[in-house]
Amino acid sequence: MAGIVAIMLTLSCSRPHDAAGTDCRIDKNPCMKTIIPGGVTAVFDIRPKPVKMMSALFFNLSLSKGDRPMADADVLLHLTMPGMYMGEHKVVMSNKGGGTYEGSSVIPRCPSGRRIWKAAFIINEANNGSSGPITAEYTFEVKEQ
Amino acid sequence: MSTGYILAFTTGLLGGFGHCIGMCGPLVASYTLYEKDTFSRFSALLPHLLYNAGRITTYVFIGALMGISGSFVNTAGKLSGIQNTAGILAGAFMIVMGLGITGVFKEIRIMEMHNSLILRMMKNVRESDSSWRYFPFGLLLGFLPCGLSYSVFIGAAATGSMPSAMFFVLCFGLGTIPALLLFGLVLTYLSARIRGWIYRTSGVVVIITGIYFLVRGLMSHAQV
Repeated sequence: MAGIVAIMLTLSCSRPHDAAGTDCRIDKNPCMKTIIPGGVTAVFDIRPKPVKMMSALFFNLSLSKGDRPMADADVLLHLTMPGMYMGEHKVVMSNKGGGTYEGSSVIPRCPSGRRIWKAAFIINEANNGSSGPITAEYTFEVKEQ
Repeated sequence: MSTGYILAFTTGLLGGFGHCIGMCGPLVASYTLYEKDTFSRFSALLPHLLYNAGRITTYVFIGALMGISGSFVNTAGKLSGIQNTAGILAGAFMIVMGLGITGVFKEIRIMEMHNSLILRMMKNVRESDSSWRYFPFGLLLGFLPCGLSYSVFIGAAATGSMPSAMFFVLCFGLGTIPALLLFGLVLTYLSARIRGWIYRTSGVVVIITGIYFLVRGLMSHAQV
């Protein structure tokens, strides 16, 4: 019995060392990734900074292929917390033209104290024939409100 | 039915097992372990049903506010004080339940030594035999800050209408029931069979969890 409660405690209270395990310092700069299949460059940013939980945020993704912007894609953002199920949190990114996509949402606060989130952009390029969607993932830390 | 509602229900179902048992499990454990042994299936089920009914009622109420305002950030900001208070009261409740499980109350008769309002309230909770007390308990704890329910409230605010938001959140709440109900019933079954130091150790773990909830609530209160 004590073991069950202890396991629950571990599940609810464990707090991975924040900042470790991130690959994007979203508070400092936009984060750039080159996605190998297709050679797409994806630059991710969040405004306003500092990026805080429980506040209105604007998610921005700029896509390019070589020198030209990728202006004809459908982009969907999935926000998840590594190691903790936080529900289906999807943001539809609207096409702002020039290879820029933008959506707004809120990153909720987890009372366990965890602050690391993952943004996974599912990118469907129009007229891309048989190849499926490509994914750009960024793991970043958000600040307390 | 819109896929959004099905998604909300699925989120509750998956989150119930993957999230709620970890976050709300200690609370369910505190009142389950404290309850007296029962030999009736309905009596064993009733506290869990009432707790869940209370919790979901609060979710639907918050969903209505989200639907009316259409803004998660504004509504959550206004509710943050209530949520932190719920966290503090949940911690206090768990400490009292944990002390009850360990048998400390029998030793020191703390309730006879003090007469403050909070202690009187806790005495009522501790000594009441009615399972109906778990409905208001669920109502209160529905306000507990929870990342999973926040995600659902964001979706509810996005529906843009009160009925849609309420139904969206109701679907989520109903989805969370199987996990917490199953968890509570397993604990009810186990607690009727485990006695002695193992049982009392569980009480200590519940007290520690209660202190954690209390400190977390107080710290959040201080930040507001």
